[in-house]
Amino acid sequence: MSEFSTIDFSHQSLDFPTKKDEHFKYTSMGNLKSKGFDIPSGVLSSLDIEKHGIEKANYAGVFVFLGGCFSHENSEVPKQIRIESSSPRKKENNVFIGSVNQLFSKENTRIVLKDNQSAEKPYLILHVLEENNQGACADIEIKLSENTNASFVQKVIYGENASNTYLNLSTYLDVETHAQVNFYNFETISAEGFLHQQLTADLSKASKCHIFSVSTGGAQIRSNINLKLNGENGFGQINGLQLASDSNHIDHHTKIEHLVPHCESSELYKLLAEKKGTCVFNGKVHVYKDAQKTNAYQSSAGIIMSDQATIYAKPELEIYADDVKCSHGCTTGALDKEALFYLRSRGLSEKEARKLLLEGFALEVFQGIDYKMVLDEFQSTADLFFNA
Amino acid sequence: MLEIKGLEAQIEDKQILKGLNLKVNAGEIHAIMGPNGAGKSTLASVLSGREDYEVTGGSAVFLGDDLLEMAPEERAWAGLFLAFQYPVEIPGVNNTTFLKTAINEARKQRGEKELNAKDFLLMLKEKQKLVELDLSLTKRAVNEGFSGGEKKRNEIFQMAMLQPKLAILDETDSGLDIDALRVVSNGVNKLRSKENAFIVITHYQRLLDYIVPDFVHVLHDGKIIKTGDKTLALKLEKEGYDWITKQPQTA
Ligand SMILES: Nc1ncnc2c1ncn2[C@@H]1O[C@H](COP(=O)(O)OP(=O)(O)OP(=O)(O)O)[C@@H](O)[C@H]1O
Ligand SMILES: [Mg+2]
Repeated sequence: MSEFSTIDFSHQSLDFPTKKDEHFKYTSMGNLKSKGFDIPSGVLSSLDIEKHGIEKANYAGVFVFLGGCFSHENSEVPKQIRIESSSPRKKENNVFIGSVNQLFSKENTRIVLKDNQSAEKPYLILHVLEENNQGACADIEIKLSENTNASFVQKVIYGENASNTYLNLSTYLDVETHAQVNFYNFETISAEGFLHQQLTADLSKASKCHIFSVSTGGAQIRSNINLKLNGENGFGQINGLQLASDSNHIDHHTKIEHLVPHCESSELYKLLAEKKGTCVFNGKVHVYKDAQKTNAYQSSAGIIMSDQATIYAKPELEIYADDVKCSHGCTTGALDKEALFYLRSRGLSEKEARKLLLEGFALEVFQGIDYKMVLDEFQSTADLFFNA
Repeated sequence: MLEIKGLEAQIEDKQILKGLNLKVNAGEIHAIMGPNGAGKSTLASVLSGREDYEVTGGSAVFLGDDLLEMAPEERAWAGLFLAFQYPVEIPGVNNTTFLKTAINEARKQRGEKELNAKDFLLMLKEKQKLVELDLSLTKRAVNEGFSGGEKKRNEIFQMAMLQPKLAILDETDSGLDIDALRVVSNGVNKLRSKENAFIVITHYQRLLDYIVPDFVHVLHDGKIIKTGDKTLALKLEKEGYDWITKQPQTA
């Protein structure tokens, strides 16, 4: 167990990736080297989560994490759920983000959903950083036992002065046979904040996992999202919207692994970069030799809105089975001038026309979300960006 | 209502409009015909403010204002409408949302009260019937996956909703089947009044049986080289353009 009270990036055991490392080609960890972040502990002092627009009543349960540790005092755990704490999981060959988590996370929190459960509302996983210069590493495992059906909203909230922050999340979804899980990942980061995340879902037979993300703000967001289709008739989905402005740097590396036959996966990413913003998307689909009858669809599209904005998008398909249906599309360009003119010629101001086009472009990512509350929240996160 | 004098415009250094004159008064319908590539759509684009074109000479005054100085949306607010020859597909943008925004933006600009949801819907139903546009199309993304004819109908539907003072229809009849042609023409005829005017660009005399023009112009090589009444269209249909374009023109 970590005894550290700071996340100290000058720690000798940390091996920083270089530009030569394929997966860090566009995202440098270098500017963290001299940094350190205090790990908060104990109970929340002043924070009232309702002030952050979060109504506990909208959720089937609330799991609050402070300094990366599960806070019993601030959480509301429903009867059907068991929380277990142990020492952090051993991270698999995870070059940097995993090593930071391994080194500085204090415990592993296991959220266990017993068999055959389903909740009307989603659960909320809430990470809190109250003060400036705070950082946290959380190590979370969610066990979805057979036939369970559950949704999780993950959010980060910051205290008023918490601008320079670091958050490292390592989350593992263990999706058992016939279980279904939705994971709604809100990556809305403090002004100078860093978010590093490793989100992995392991899918057993006939299970389903849908992951939806919105990413915006901060100095750097880097999320690795992995789906492992380990049992036949599984379905996995990863959808993400990146909204980069100012000097935001947003990077998602996704990996979908088809290890067995008869599974389906679908992936849709939309990237929007304005001002000096940068979006990075690297989407790997790996179909193993035995994974016949695989269906895998991937599509990503980016819009660059200024000369100084950048988008790097790269699909990576590795297909070793022969009887598969795979498709991928990747486009990047400017906002459609013809469409813009069409709308303006009907009397929409340039600003309004832009907003409508961008919204239309972006919100496709969230099609198929069942909870209106969640959908509205994704939409309003996007609107904040479009109206800025 | 609209007075165009000596209008010259180019795109990528290619001169397209070469001193075009046209005067349209309220209550009138003008048909513009002319061979492919003559500059008809260019005229429509320049009038509605497409930025790709550079105006290199002449003037266009619309209801007392210098049209060429206005942004596309300002032209729309002033009452100008263009039915596109090739309507644009806009995935992700809902037809109804877009129209409501457009109508209310124009109302706001004119200092009128915004339409509430109920009045908007009433109007939408009325106009949708007028042009017999399938209601389900109004609920879809703008023109996305519409058939050619549906796109054209949607243009006329938008025109009916926006109630412009001057509407330019650029080959709205191409791609329409006979029934659709009648429906669209009926729509135009019902919207026609003493207060508004239409410029109808077409290749076919057939449309002008339905929408009877007060004037027919021939646009050739960036200029209007002949103007007549509706009988000119009949003559063009029979004899083509050669008899006008091949002989030297006198002003
Ligand atoms: N982007 C462009 N670059 C160069 N030339 C262009 C461009 N756009 C249009 N033109 C040219 O301008 C000329 C006039 O085109 P326009 O579309 O106005 O013709 P039109 O009279 O509407 O023809 P049609 O009857 O075929 O619709 C054509 O020769 C066309 O090739
Ligand atoms: Mg044309």
